[in-house]
Amino acid sequence: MNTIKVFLFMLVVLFVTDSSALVPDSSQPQLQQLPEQWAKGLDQLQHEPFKLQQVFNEQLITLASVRFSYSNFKELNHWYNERRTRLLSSKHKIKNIQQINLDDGKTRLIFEYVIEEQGIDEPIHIFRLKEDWLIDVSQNGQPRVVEMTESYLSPVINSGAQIQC
Amino acid sequence: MLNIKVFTMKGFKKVMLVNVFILSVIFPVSLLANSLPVYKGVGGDFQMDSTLDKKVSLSDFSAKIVLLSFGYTNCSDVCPVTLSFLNNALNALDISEAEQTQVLFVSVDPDYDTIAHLQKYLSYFNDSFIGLTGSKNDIEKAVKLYNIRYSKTSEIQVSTDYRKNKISKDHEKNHQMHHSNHDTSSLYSHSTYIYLLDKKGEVRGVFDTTTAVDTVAQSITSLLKESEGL
Repeated sequence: MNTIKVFLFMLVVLFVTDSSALVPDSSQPQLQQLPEQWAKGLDQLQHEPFKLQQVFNEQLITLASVRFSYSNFKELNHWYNERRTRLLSSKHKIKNIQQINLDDGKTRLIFEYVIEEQGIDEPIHIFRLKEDWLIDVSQNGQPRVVEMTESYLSPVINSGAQIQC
Repeated sequence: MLNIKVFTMKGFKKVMLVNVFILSVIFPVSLLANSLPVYKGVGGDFQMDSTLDKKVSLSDFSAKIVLLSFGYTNCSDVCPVTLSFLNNALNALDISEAEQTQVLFVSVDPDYDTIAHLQKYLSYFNDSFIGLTGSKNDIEKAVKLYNIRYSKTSEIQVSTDYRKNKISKDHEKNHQMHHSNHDTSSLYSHSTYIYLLDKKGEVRGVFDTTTAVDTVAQSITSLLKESEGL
């Protein structure tokens, strides 16, 4: 009897801690690739402002259908309006992606996003950002970003006059 | 490419110049491509009391390249090492470059570090160093802009007798003593970043005392040349 109780207890523990079971396995690779695909879309310079969603969808057309739902992207709009037309190049690095599976079919992706962009008559600008995305995967396993939070990271000690992105 | 037959060196040079012009029009490359990068998300203007005996803003130093660090005078190791490092960086420059560079040291301990005490402390390292401090609000604003983390290590106060005596021994002949009214001070832990700011106040380098002194000096030289359009 005690053995059965222990066994049942272990099953419960496994079910509770293995929250990845609440996010479909088929979504896992898509989720991990989301940041990279989004960043690649932003690197492209030929797209006009306010077509971010379209750019992103084009990038992900072979992986998933993703729609942004956000309310406060003033900085992104400003960036598009003010800087995009003056950019010569833009590249990025995505680092340290952490996935935290939540209840009710949502998951969080937290990662470091470093952007390096060169504008006309300007030195290279480096942005080191922490991204925190809330993603809904409850609709047919297709990831849908519902919230994006972005903040600057502390600077990295630069041991030389070299760009460390 | 232009199709010009070249029979002489003069003709060859003309062709090369034309080709370079055409390429620069087709493929515009920023002349600042090899400059120090601009680090976004950190930096900004702030105002504080200074060892110039007046309130100053960081933007008041826009005619110079600025090396900005944060600490406090009762710091036993990191701050003296940082200030010595900054002195060495200035000494690695030629005279005119050093004159165009300003070291600013922000004290996060306004309780102990009066302006007069900061003045005496910094003169121990280099007479040109300027100290800044202010109200808690002034300091909070500055540390937030520059991602500086600092905190009191404990509420226990430590004696400053040794430091008081050390400074008085070095300066007793020609300098009037200026000390805080307190004989004890708090200990703080704090970030050790050294920020390099250009004449627009943008952050162009983030160093600490593990950075080679020559690297800092070369970065300053690079920014001075950039500001002159070279």
